[in-house]
Amino acid sequence: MQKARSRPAGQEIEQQVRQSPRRKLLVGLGRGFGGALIFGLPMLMTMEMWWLGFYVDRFRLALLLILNVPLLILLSHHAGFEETTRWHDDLRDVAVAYAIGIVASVVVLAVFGVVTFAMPADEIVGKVALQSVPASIGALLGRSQLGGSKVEPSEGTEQVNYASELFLMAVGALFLSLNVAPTEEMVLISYKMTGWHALALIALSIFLMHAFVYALEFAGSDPSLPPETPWWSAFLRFTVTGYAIALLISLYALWTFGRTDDVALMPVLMSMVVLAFPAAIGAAAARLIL
Amino acid sequence: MGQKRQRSMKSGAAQQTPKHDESRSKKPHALEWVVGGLSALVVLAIVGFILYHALNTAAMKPELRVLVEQVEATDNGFRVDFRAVNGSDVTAAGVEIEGRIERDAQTIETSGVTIDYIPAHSGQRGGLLFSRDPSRYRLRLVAKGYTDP
Repeated sequence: MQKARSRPAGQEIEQQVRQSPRRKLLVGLGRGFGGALIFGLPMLMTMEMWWLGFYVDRFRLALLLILNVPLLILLSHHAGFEETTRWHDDLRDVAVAYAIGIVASVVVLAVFGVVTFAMPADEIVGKVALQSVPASIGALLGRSQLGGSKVEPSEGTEQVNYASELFLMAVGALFLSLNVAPTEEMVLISYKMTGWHALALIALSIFLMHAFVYALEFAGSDPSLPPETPWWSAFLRFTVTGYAIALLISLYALWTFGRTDDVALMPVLMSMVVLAFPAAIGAAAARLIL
Repeated sequence: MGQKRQRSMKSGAAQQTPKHDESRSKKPHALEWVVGGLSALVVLAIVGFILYHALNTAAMKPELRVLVEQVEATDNGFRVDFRAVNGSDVTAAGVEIEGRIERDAQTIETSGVTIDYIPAHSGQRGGLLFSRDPSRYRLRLVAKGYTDP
């Protein structure tokens, strides 16, 4: 509700600040910090995320930090601080978003006393680096989402549009799975479940995704899903594909956080299915919200 | 409520932006079917694997073994690195590992640790610390107990 009300207000502000470039910059940075906090706080206040900061495999952490850059660039291209037409504009926005994410993480972790000067540099850097990934995604989205604009599908060829839909689903899946993957509950739930529970969860995830993607989609407004599309066509091209993306993103998140080390295939698949549930919801919601 | 808002926002956005779907053909591209088909294969493979396991798993209890990997001298004693293995189809939680150093069938030192989880057919590594050199005596590592997760 609040978002709906802030939308016209956001557009008014946009018009006002257009007169003063300095105010525009400050408002943009403020929105970035707002987004970083909204998206990052759940993880900044999760103790497993603090612990992961010092014990997560350094190679996997570095890979996550590096992969975050192309992810932010593509996201900026879709949902940037402003309409970007050139790649170096995207790069600048990404650098600013990453910096906002890092600063927001440092400030919040320091205020919580989770990061102190008494700690070794390796621990501080690890904790901040891990948190900066979700916070930077939030900073990038914050400026567009809090500013009242909406992500427009890229005006490219059909394949590019389809790829961008899948990319947005992957971002949604990554975001929600990063939120919950570090907690112990993810693996605990998978240990409590039997194979039958897992199959039921797969069916529930796919059903909910399809409800989001197809049934709740405003028929006709989405150019990739014209109203006369048969259900199985949307099901195969978006729902099943989105769920497969959610499963793979879940596997990546579990691997990054060391949840797959020395674990047999069946328990890994079970925790993948558990984590893919929120990831699937995130993927489906990303198409509506972003 | 939320759904309604979503819809009105969507239609608002559609009015503001020029429609750009006229240029598109109605039929989805072949690539979309290829990606959809591959995704269906991934999902079906996972469903099939879990189904196979669900059908072939009898209700059973964890089978725990503790394997000594190496014994190393540290600054203030000795460290025994072990790997606890669960050979069953169910996960064991709160596994208590006890290490004993025995001389002439008498325990002269014990050490212990609790492992949070050992998933089915998986392992978990850990270490036990002793003040005496375990390699000079008889070293026993056993799993003392567990709970269902």
